[in-house]
Amino acid sequence: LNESARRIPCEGSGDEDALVRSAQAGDPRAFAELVRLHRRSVYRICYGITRRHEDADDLAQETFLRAHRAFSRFRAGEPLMPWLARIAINQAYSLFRHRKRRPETSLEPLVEAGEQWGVDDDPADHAVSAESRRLVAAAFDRLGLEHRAVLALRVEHEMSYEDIARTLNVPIGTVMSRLARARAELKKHLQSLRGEPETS
Amino acid sequence: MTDSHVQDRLSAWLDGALPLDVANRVEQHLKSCPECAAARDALAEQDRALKAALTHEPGDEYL
Repeated sequence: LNESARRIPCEGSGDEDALVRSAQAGDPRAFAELVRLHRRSVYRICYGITRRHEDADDLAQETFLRAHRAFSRFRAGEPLMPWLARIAINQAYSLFRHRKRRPETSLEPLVEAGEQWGVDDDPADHAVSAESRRLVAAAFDRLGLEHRAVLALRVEHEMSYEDIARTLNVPIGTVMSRLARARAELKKHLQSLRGEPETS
Repeated sequence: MTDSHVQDRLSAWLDGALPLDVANRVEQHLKSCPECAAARDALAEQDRALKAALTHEPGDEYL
């Protein structure tokens, strides 16, 4: 290890910038710590887009492999997560292009959501919520990747518009209009699935 | 501001992404327009359902 790598604490420091600089200086422990810090977030973004554990797992691993190869090009001082999210979304594009179809619908999230219900919840609410989740998941599966990605980043991951813009490499105004279109498109598919007349 | 204009802004309004003056005008309109208020509630519910559908914790074993 070089001197700068030795000075950087690598376990749970929370100092992302220091870890980034250390990893770029060649400290594998620093990169491993960055993976540990961001693995859950990257997985959740991948899952939010694909809704399949196997795909999310593969995409998350590929994301960190590619991040490691390109890490010298990352600009230290900037937040790492938008950069990782961009790699993850590019991998999702590649996956979808390779398959030439949209991801398969999965009942997995519904089953898992059911397992999370507490004993004090009202069973009547469960039925509404489960149906609501099932429908919205089916509607989401009909969206193109551009809309899936922006919705996953905002609604599931609660990223700021600024970070989404950085992730997708588009202006903030585009994030705003794309999110509005994605939500409108999702609503249209929901109405179609419910057999309701389409409204604006 | 028409209903259509408010409904066009609901996505950004829900995200807290509108400039303050525009957000205030949207909120004023929502108080007096049941149609737009219903659209706001439906969009918020759609977001809640979507978040539930997209959220998946792989568990500590995976991580």
